Amino acid sequence: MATWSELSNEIAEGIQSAGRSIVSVQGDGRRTAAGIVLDDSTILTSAQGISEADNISVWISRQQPLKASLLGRDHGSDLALLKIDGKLGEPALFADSPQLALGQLVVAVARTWRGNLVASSGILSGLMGEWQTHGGKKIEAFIRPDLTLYPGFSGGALLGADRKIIGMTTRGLARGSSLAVPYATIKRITALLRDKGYVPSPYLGVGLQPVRLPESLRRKLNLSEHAAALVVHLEGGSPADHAGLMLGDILLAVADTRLGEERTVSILSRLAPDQKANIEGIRGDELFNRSVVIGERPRRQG
Amino acid sequence: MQEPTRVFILADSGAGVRKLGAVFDQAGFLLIGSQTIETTSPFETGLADVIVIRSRKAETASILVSRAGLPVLWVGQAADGGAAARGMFGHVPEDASLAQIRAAAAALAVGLQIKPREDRSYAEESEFTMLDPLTDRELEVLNLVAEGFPNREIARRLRVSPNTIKFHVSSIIGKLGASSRTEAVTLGLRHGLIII
Repeated sequence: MATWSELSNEIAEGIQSAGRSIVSVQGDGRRTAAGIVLDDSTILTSAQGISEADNISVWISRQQPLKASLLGRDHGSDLALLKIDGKLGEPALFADSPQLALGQLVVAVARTWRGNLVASSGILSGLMGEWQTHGGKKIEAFIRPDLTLYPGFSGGALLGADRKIIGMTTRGLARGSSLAVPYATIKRITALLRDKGYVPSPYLGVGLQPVRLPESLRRKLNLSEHAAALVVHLEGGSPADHAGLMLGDILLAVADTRLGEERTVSILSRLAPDQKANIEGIRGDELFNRSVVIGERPRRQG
Repeated sequence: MQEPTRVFILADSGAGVRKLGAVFDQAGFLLIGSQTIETTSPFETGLADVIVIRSRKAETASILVSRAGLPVLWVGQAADGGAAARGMFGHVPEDASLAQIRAAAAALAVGLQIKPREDRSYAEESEFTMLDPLTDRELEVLNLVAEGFPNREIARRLRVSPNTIKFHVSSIIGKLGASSRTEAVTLGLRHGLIII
């Protein structure tokens, strides 16, 4: 059983050691964020933390800042990658498969714009498996530490007792709640950001309206669900169009997602562009199954 | 042998009355009377089954309806008398075919209601129209809001100022009858405005 001073010192040392891979990031605006060193020249930070892509500066200590450029960003997961012209400190040590449990003591580490290391602590107060943000984006685990993320803490690291990083702290994922983006999500998203500079969004090209299935139809087709989605809009040339969907089709499921139970924005969240998926639906009182190749959401480049 | 439908004709002019009368004459209908419309003069519909009016005077037409107590078929432009059309039992547009006019009169006479399939005025007035339609730009913004992007990010993508986006979001909230951004998304989802 550790004494007060033993515990304190251990936490202090853990912060200093992990702090070598924590930087401060500042864009053109007044906002500052923290950042995590991923390798020699790449930093992970909060997408919302840097409002402008130009004139990004990075402090690794209290010395002169380094210039950084934006490699890519993804608002769905609030992650952004920065490229540094120069040599960074040690890459951060992430916990690959952390054994997280409710109540574990965790510490958030960040760096101020003056280059000073700062910290906050608490226990893991919320822990759940895969979830989706309000905008329907997949996050590999729900991690909510019970601590204060002061201004400038987004983009920093959440440390566990093994001194490894559990995830990136942020207040930008769910209406101001303090959460950590898990390492699994960081791995997935940064790979895409390095490759394309953005994260392609899965796309079908339909506008769906929730509808209740009439009793007669449920009986006739032996359906257990009560609700489905009616196609009220079909984008020409879209994946849905190529799959032969029509206005008026009633969709029951896309891949394994039953549409009657899911928010429209979440329907495609477990799918990726170029992936094949089966669409189960009803047309004219008969069930149908059609294969669709998920496309990429047309995007306006900023 | 079926009883012929008894029709009473009202039109703006003598010529109009004759033209409309000709539609029904020789077609299995019985023309029992006709009159040109004058705002306040009374008319005797006798034993009519249906009154057929062809008029550009919408207010007049609606006054007549309230007096009649009989099914009324109004032949005229929807734009001229949308309000009048609502008070009546049946309406066919100005350019309706003879067959349509006769069918409408016969249907009304036996107690049915009629409605042209493609008349846009009905689309505007029907109970299925619940929302002020969103502009293309507003739909675009709503979809971006639904994806979870903050205003700043939406502004950046659409290359406009954040204030412009705030303005669009306000308008969207108003049109959907929502009380917040989040509720606007929920209502947008419910009405099939979100494209995935």
